[in-house]
Amino acid sequence: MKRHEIPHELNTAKHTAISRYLSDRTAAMARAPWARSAHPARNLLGVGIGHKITKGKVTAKPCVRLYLEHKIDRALIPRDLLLPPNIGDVETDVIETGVLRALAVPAGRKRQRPLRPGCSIGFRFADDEAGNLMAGTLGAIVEGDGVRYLLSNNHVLANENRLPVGAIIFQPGPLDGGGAADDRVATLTRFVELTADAPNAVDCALAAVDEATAVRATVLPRVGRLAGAEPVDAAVGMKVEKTGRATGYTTGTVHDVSADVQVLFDLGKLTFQDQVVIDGDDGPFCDGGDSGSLVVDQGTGRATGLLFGGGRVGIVNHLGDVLTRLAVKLVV
Amino acid sequence: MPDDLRSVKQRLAPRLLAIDGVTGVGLREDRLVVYLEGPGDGARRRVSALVEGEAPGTVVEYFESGEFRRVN
Repeated sequence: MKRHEIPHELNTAKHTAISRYLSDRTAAMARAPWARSAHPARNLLGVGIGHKITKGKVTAKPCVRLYLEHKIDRALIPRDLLLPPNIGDVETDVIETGVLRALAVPAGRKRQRPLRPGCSIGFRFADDEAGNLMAGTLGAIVEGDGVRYLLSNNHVLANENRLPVGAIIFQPGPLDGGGAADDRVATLTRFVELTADAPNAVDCALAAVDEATAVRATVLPRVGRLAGAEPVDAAVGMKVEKTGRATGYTTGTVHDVSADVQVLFDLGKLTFQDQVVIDGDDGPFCDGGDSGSLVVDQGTGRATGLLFGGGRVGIVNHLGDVLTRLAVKLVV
Repeated sequence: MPDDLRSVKQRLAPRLLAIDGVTGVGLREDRLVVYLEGPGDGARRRVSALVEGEAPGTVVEYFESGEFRRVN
């Protein structure tokens, strides 16, 4: 049933239910947190239109849907508080939704000062790509030759080799509203070139932290502070965790530590050798925007990888390879 | 993990990755893991024929990973 196809009598019944049960919300505000009210003004959260569900199956019969925070046994509800089986000639259907809440913006997408691994970072597209917006994840704070850098992927900090050294890095990334002068936090310093002509080992880059930018090496919740600066080698069966800008905190299990994979980039389908494959424990381990996340071994609390790709699983560089290629050490 | 399995992976990976629908080749315990875009039989048949011909007796585990993309 499309919105413009809803029959007049159904819409009328819906509006009757709204004016009868949803118009006075002051009662809803007064409820004690430990109580469950059968009063429609307190328990009814929404009214809609759909097909009636009977014994778990959607029927062809149109109805007015009454969305309740809690479904309560009819026998326990005082007669004068029972919701009607019909409104006019239209049947009603009661559906339990739980509390409806606004979806919060993950912490990683917000402005973070001091900067912390797990937050959104990115660059501004230029030339023929101008107008596009992107954001990835800050993986870690690293150090080399006395300079502090932000560590993430080449494709998050250097736009797949296309940005020049010195390009400005923002927090949050432009897709999350960053890009103003005071969102500037670092400048692109170096990256390991991605290539379509030979197998790759890593997708990584560094951006030197601006003098005025405060950083803190503790990863955003719930990963927290690393137990040491030395990375630990990934092993099949290892339980890992990460905090990323898109999916926040997730956990997973290492499925493979030496996978050769083909991953789609703007440059084409690139081959990466000897990668770590991670299976999410409760749903996907990662999604678009998590690129650059630091993957941490739950057993030792030490970092093991840098996330850069995925499908139904996450694809991760061995962190030891990343740090060696960039000649830096983790700051903890 | 047996060294000979590593060398089988190293030797066959470029040809396995060239098969349409194969997204990755890895190792897990005593098995060669082949990552696939989807459930189709075509890729599995071609993988099986290649491995059987080049490294008979190698155990292959298939894993439907979907297509891999950079994640942002």
